[in-house]
This record gives sequence, structure tokens and C-alpha cells, in this order.
Amino acid sequence: MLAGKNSLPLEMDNGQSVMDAFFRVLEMVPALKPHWLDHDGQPHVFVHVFLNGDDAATLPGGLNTRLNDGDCLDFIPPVAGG
Amino acid sequence: MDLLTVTQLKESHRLLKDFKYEVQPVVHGYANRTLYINLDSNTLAIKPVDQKMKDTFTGGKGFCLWLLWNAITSETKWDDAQNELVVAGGPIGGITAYPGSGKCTVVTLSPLTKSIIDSNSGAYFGPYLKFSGFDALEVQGKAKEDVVIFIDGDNGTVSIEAAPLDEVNTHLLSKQLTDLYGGETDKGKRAISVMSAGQAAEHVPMCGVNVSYWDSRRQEIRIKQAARGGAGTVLRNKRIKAIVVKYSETGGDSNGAANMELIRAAGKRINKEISDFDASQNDMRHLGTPYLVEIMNKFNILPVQNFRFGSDPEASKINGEVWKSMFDFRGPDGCWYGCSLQCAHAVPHYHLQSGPYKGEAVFVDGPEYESLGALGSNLGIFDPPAMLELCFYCDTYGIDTISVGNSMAFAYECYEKGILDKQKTGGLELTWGNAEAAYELLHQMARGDGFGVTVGQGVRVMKALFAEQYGANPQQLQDMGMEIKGMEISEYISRESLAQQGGYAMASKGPQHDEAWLIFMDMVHKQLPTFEAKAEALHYFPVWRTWFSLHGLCKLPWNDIIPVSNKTAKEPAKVPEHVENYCWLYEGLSGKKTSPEDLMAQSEKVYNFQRLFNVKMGFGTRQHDYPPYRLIGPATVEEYENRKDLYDTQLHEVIGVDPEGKSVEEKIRLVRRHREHQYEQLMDAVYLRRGWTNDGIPTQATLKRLEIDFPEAMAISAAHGG
Repeated sequence: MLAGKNSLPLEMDNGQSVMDAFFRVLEMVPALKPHWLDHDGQPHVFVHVFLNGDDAATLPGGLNTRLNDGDCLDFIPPVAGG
Repeated sequence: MDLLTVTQLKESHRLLKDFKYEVQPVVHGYANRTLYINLDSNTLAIKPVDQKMKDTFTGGKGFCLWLLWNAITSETKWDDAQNELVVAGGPIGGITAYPGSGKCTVVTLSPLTKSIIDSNSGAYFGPYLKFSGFDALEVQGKAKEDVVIFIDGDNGTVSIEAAPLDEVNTHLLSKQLTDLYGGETDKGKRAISVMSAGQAAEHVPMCGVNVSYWDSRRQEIRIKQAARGGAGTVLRNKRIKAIVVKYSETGGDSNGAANMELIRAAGKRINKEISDFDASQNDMRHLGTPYLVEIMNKFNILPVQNFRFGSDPEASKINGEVWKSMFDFRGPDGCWYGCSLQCAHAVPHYHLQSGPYKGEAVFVDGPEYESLGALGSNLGIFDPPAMLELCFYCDTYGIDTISVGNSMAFAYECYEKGILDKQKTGGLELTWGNAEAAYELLHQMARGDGFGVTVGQGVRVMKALFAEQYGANPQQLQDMGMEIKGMEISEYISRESLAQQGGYAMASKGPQHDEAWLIFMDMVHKQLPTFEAKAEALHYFPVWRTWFSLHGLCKLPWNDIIPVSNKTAKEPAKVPEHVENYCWLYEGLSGKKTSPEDLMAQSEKVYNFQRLFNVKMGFGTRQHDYPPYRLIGPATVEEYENRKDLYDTQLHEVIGVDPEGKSVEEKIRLVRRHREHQYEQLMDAVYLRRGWTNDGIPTQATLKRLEIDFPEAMAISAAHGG
């Protein structure tokens, strides 16, 4: 549990996206930056972002998908089974 | 508990047979010999390994299957003297420059499935067997009294010793034999690996083998398991208490590699990756596989109450962070030298609450995710001490946690449904969350008395028994009995992943995710949208994953750590950079230029050979590849209601039926019809992709292409329409 907790509330402006939320979380929990960002300051390939249970990468808008009130984001590591 | 002293133990052993052999260096990963032992006649013999055997079967599981194929007939039963226990590491196994290189595979006729099973374990046995001079060990026949087999690779001797007073349960026996054969020094103890089972293996078919190594830092015996399928039951059926291998001189190049620089390059690359990124990814070095509990729970994949549900609010009580706070971090946790992923964690100083060792403080290896699923959430038990109690006794008694957990869960659900009652269970109240009842069931399996012995026969036997003796509805039991081919299913709810249903049900050995773990690719990342895509995955991944067991390697370093290069990889699920690492390892070992296709070719031969072996034994056809309905869809009203929105939406959007006004039972029936039809279509697509007939038989053309077209194989294929 890199953040020291496994959930936190997030306040975003209207029209903001999943990617915006990703960077907002990093502002709130800077300890995550070395784990979540690559050398180019972009999300590491192994950080999977889920929006309301769906892999954001599979959504039509991808990480640019607009957020709505009440949305839930999950950040999951690469999962390979036991 | 007072054990015999080393002197007393040594005096109690009686030599039955021994022989001396010349220990030869390993060349390009091969000892070029196998060891054959027959306990009927106390025969000890060496068999050569020729180039054709290496070219066709590579090593590890491949060698084991070939040796067993030649040792038995289609009529042989698991408890016949003719059955063999075959153990092998693999050519790459034993290197120390790359993580996860210490595995061994055990192959035998299974007391659970009645067909061929293979199961793999970490710890030191595989490499030590090879360095001692043998690419594989075959044990046939049955001893007339309890024996220990000792392979001394330091001195070039093999002995069969009567061992009447040695313990049977692993945590004591491993210590006795490590002390006896390893002596008092750390170097001596580190040279020993003990393969053993436990008391329960004398009474129930679901016992695996434990494989030990000495942890110098903690001064403890550590154990890993080749748990699935009953190899431990076969071990004890042969009156073997343990097989011990000793080898003191493991070095960086004990494998006689052609090009160590290439092996070191692969190791350097992956070790840096693990060092840089493990903490950011799954944190295997601190959490191990328990990291999966929280994620499986979130995605409704964690088995709860006999796989009825996929999540529980109490799951957090047994998640990875809980175990991290309890694990012993005094030393490295790799189960072979050089493993930087180091996921084999353990909990020290646990005081047992029950059983013959009640009150003793013990060191508990694990728990792993599978055990937490099987014995925890699947039984409604979310208490960490209960997990430790159950895991410890399963280990020392030799019981496979997955099979026993699912078998208990089946019995618990039968109790809930009134199929069982206290009279039938001998007074045990099999209610969800009742850990004490679970403890007692284990102890009964070890003692060989009580209802526990019935549970220990496994789900398939209980289904038949409860229908016959208690008048239970056979279809209901079939739907809720989580076994395929007689082996209990490992701990992932697969209802929403058609690909994983196939991965479980079409696996040759039985439903172990060893062959395929496609749930996230399929259900979560939606990377397999069509039957063809699922079929392609069910061709590639089982063949690829089989490759590790040919070589004595662990799969976790392949995809439990992800490199940066995956960002631009065409097929990230295959982790191409790590596949390249394995090409370097094989090329470095053998001196032969190696591509990913070459590795797949090695594996595809053995994969198809194993399927054909099942056919030879009377199994291996389409009728044996069906899962219980609960693996495919909601089998009961409570399962449907638990995810009503999901299923109603699917009814409407996928099946084209309006759920409005329909009873739950009718909706279950409609969903079932759709999903069972989908499963049939999947089987058709997978068999076609694999080069099998529509009945699941490898065709003669496939056998020819794979160069496993020897006469007996072709005859079996032809006889079954291949």
C-alpha cells in the first residue's frame, strides 16, 4: 500500500478526464510519483486505471474519458494470477 | 515434541540396497542419464538419455511423461506397483543467475483423476537431482516396509534404507532427514532437499509432495509443494517416507553452460527490473501472492462459499497487507539460489490451536493466495490465525490446500442445504466460517477416521456418494461440485471469462491455472473479444506456460513483473522482453541460436503428447473437458440475485431477451442455455486451433508436424478418429 491508505475522495472540476484524475491523485499523494510515472512523466505501463470497474484503456475515450459525479477510479498493478 | 536423536535415527535405518555410480559433470544443462528404482526388487539402475529424447521431450515434465509412458500400460491403475512416481528438474533449472530457476516437476497416475497428472514445486530437489547426475528419477514398485531413498550426489551413491522409526509428517521428517544426512553445519544442511508427504497421504487421494530446503538465516526447514493431483498419496502407497537428495557443490555454472555471458545478461536485465519496479507493481518481495486477495475481491473473482460469490466485505482481513505485517523478513525468501523475486514468505512462531502438535510454536510457510482462497474465503473463514492453522496442518499432513478447501466447501454447502447433517458428519457443524470444524476434518484425514476421510476423497467421489446414499439431486450436486476430471478447481471465479473456463476445463491434468490464467486478459482488459481470439490464447498460453515445466523454471518472473518495454510491445500479454530473456537463457545454455518459436516448438510437442497420453489411459476426449455449470454461470437463485444487474443486462443486450416479468428460475435457464452453447463453440474453436479433431484428439497430421509420430502415438490417434 504505497499511499498508506487504499482509498481517498477526489474532487474534480466538470469536464475533467481520467488522466486528469490520475495526476490529481499524484498531487495529493506525491509518494506515488516514483512508482507511477516513467522518465517522461507519463503513466507507467504497469499502472492500470479502471473507471467504474472498466479498464479505462478499453473505453472509447481511453484515458481521456470524461468523469461524472460519483465515478470510482481504481489503480491496479499488473495481475498475472497466483 | 521430542524427536529421535540423529544417532538413534541412523541406527534404526537398515540398508536394503545401494549402488555406487560415477558423478559426471552436467553438460549444457543435461546430466544425460536418468535413475530408475524398483522397490519390488530393490533394483537401482541408470538409463541413458539420448539426443532424440532431448530433441523430442526437452526435459523436466517432457522426460517424466516419456518415462512414464514407457513404464505403464493403458490398464495400469494409480495404486498398481507398475505406476511410477517420476521427478525431474529441467535443463535450464539450477542456474543461479536468473530468478525462479529451482523447480521440479512430479508426474504420476493420479489417485484423484485416475489419469496422468503433473505438479511442480520450488525448493532445491530438481537442481540437486541433476547435479547429482540424473535428469530424472523414476520410482516403480512398492517397498515391503517404509523406506527412505537417499541420493548422495557428493559421493555418487544411491541407497534404499528401511526407515521404520522416521516420522511421517513433513515438518518433523524433513528436519530429521536434513540433520541425518546433512549433519550439523549450515553448509551440510543446505546441501539437502527432502521430498515427503504426510500422514493423510495414507488415507486420502488428494495429497501432494512437500519439497524442502534449509534456510540458514532463519535456521528453519522451508517447504514448497507439488501439491496437485495426489503424488504424495502415490509416494506413501509405495511405502516411501521420503526421497532425499544431497549435493554440496552448487556453483554459478553447475549446468555446464555453453555461454554463461548470455545467461548473465538475461539475469542482469530482469534483476534490475525487479529491483526498480517490484515495489511499484505487486511487491512480491514483501507481499507474495497474497497481494491477489484484494484485487480478486474487487473484481468478483475471489471464491466465496464454494464459488457461489466472488467477493466478501471481510476479505480485507486476509489480504496482502495483513500478511506483510506478519511475515518474517529476517532473510531472503527465494526458494532457489539467485531468485530476486523472493516471494516464498512465511510466518514464524505461530502457536498451534489444535491437533497432535497443539500448543507448539511452529514456522508456517505461506500462506499463498490459493490457500487463502481455498481455506479462507471459500469456507467463509477470514481469520488469519485460522489460515495459519489450516495451512500448517495441510503442509505437514501432505494435503493439497486447493483440493481440500474446495472439498470442504462442497461439504459445507451440502450441510447448508440439508443434504448433510450432524448425524452424517459425526457431530461436526459444517457452517460457513466454522474453522474448528475444518481443523477437525484435516485431523480426521490424517488419522484415517471420521467424516473427514469422506471429504478427503474429493468432490467427485462425494457427488456420487451423496446422491447414492443420501438421495441428493445428482444434477444439483454436479452444478455445484467444483471439480473437473476429478481434480478440484483452483481459486478463481471464472463465470465472466469464457476463456478461463476453457483454460480450466481443457487442461490435460485437470483444472489448475498452471496452463492458463486468462481472466484479466479476457474479462477485465477485454483483449479476447472473439472465439478466435480466445482460441488463439488457449493455444498460445497453455503451450507457452508448459515450457517452464520442461526446464525447471518458475512462471512468476515471466509475468508477475512487467518491463518498461511492454508499453510499446505489440502483444504485451506475452511480455516479449521476458520471452527474449528465456531465449537468451536457452541459447546461453545450449549454444544453439534460439527464437521464441523454437521455445514454443519444444513445448507444443510435450503438450500434445500429454493429451495423447490421457487418451491412451481412457480419457483425453471432449466429454472429459466440461466444467460444472457454476464455473460457467449462475447455478442458483442466490448466485443470480447476487449479480442481478449484470445478468439482467446480459440477458437483454447479449441474449436479446427482456428480463422484465420473468422469474429468476426462468432467467437462470435462459442464461444457462446461452452460456453452455457458447462453451461448446469455444471448444470447437480451440480444438481446431490446436490441430485436434472435434472430439479433442491430436490428429495424425499434428503428430507428424510435431515429430511425435511414433507408431504407438499414431495408432492411438487413428483409433480415435485422428
